[in-house]
Amino acid sequence: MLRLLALLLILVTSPALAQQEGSGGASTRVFRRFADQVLKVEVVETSSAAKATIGSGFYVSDRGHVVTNYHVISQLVHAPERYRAEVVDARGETRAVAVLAIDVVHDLAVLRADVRPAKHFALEPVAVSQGDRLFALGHPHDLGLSIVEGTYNGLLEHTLYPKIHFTGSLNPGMSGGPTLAESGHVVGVNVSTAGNQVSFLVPVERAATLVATTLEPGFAPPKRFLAEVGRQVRAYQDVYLADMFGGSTPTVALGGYTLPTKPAPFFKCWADATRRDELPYQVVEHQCSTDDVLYISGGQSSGVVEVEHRVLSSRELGALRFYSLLSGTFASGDEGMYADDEEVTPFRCETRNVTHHALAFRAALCLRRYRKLDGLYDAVLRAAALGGRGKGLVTTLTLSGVSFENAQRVAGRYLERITWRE
Amino acid sequence: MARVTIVEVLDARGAVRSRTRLDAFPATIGRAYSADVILDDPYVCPRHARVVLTESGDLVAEDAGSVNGVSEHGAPVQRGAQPARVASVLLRPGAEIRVGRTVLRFCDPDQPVAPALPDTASDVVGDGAIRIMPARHPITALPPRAALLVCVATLGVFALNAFLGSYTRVTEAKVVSEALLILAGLAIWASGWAVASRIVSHRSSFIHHLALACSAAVVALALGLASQWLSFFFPASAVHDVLPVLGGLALATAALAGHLALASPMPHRRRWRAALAVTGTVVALIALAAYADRDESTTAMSYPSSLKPLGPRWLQTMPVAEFTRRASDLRAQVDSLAAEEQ
Repeated sequence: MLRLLALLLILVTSPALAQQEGSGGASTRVFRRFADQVLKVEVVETSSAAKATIGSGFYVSDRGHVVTNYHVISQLVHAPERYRAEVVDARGETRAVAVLAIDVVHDLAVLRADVRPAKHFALEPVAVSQGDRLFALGHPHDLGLSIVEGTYNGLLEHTLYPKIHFTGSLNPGMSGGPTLAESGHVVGVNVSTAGNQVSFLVPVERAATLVATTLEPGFAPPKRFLAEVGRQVRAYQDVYLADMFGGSTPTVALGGYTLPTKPAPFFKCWADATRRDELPYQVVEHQCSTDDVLYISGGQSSGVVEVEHRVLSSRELGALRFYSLLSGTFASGDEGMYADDEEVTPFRCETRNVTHHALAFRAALCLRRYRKLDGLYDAVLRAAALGGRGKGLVTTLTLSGVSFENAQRVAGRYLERITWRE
Repeated sequence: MARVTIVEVLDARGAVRSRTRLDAFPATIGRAYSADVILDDPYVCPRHARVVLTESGDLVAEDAGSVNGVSEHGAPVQRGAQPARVASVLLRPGAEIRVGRTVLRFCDPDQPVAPALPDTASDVVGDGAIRIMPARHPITALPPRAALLVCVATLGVFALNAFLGSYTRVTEAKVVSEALLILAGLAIWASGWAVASRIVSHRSSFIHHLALACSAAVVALALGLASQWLSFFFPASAVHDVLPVLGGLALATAALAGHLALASPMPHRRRWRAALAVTGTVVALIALAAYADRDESTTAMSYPSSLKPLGPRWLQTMPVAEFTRRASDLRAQVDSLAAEEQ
């Protein structure tokens, strides 16, 4: 489910068609004033000279700086020997662009074309209120520059870094385009959608910060962008994992176990129970996960942190049958991480019997390494409480795109937060 | 020149149980110890029939006033009716007659026989004497009722296993039907061996083949359960992975050797060698196929998942810090995997 959500969020896959409700004169005015500052960004496969991906972008300086999304040009970052990037302006002129800077965490990139555009957007803070009309510009499905009217609905609550909730239809191809206030100020950069007009923007401040670094005297782009991707993901996880499952982590009581829950404000938690007459046991599930999924490449996403507790109980099953159930539960579960075989190694696992206070676990820690990004791993810790009669716990912690040291520390803290209160 | 004939006593499947040379006539056939051809058949009279040499030089079998008479074997008989009694039968080479419930075949002494099989077996028993006949497998000594009991017990064991392995509400019919399905598979396996036995040694021994297959299936189940318990007690050890492979190889070899003992007169060592060669080859092919088709997908997590209802005092445990510290080995493993393919 998490993977599905991640895909929906990242790649703007909503089939909904762009709509313009109550277009009136505002849309027309905005389009006429700013259309020539918005570009189509194309990543071209060099051997065939064919487009591999398209997106949108916009000029942000008179020296040809262009802002777009990282995911629009990620193929170029991962295989610079196979791809090149170009921008096509409103008059249909195509220019080669070079990547200057990327921000994987916020899904932004700054490109530069060898041109001095007549007009460009100024990336300045702008005050908007919930309900304000916004206008998203971009090239949906490569159909030509379009404008989509929508509304500003504030910042998302459960995210590590701010994202704007834009109610309007963003479609594939619009990624990287600007979303403007009626005044013409850039409010955010189009980035993703969850469908049904629920779309998301990167706040303009993040783009302004990234552009500012490229405009500093003496700025030089990274020699290897892939190494830069790895460095940014490592820095990102160092921040959000620093205190995770520390002493202040809230707990939830389930079936006699005290379990860690909602390890940070940017987590969402869900719970459900399976109690069916035809089953001789009950399962209570509690799950918390982040929505802050990082797009690394078409074959990999990262940044997933997920906690899942499954508490099983039965008065009907005998000891051997109950432990058959517990074994089946311990063996199963979706790790909820998305990566192609080319991006990560297979998992390797270490299984031991672990005690903490009066509680004993069978604990399996599984690890796989990112092949292209140094020092990053996906880790899954699954543990089952041992010795319970007619009552059992299987708990899973999933961490993707983390350093080994963080995986080790967070897994240890996680197990230590579990207690038995009967 | 004196007339000679060979009387062969056939069993119900047509195999020869004994041969007697007759060179003085009249010769007697019956259950009496004084008979020239002694038949251990309660339907045969002490003096049941005799073989006489006629003036024309032919041999004829005559009824000696027996209770159940003499008949020509192979003559058409109506279903449920007794074979037609005859007073005498002309004994040409290959003629078969029925006395009581025994079939006798008369052969010419000049009848050619197949060349001897070269005996390459080196089976030497304790006193150094060469064993004349292959040793009989212990399973052949099992009375048919005991063999049947083994099969019924197997059904019970698999039904119990199906019950203990399930955690949904199951009916007796469901667990028994699961066990019956396994037994049906074993019966098909045993039938194949029974057909082979019938062709090679004229005895199908189906129930013994089935008992052998059932015993092997129960031992295989026990091996699987032992592996689960071992993985529970020693999750970091490879014993639970090795046991099913080595145990399975030994079990398959023993079972195959048993089937061969029932199905053929193959000497003891040769059948063990043959069984080992076959199972070794099959295991090697399976291992090769498994290696070629190994799941190295990046989503598969493989770890011993068998849990048992025992508390920590039965287990070797470690503190959390020690567990996470050992994860350094894991890092080394995945780092080397990444390095291998770069």
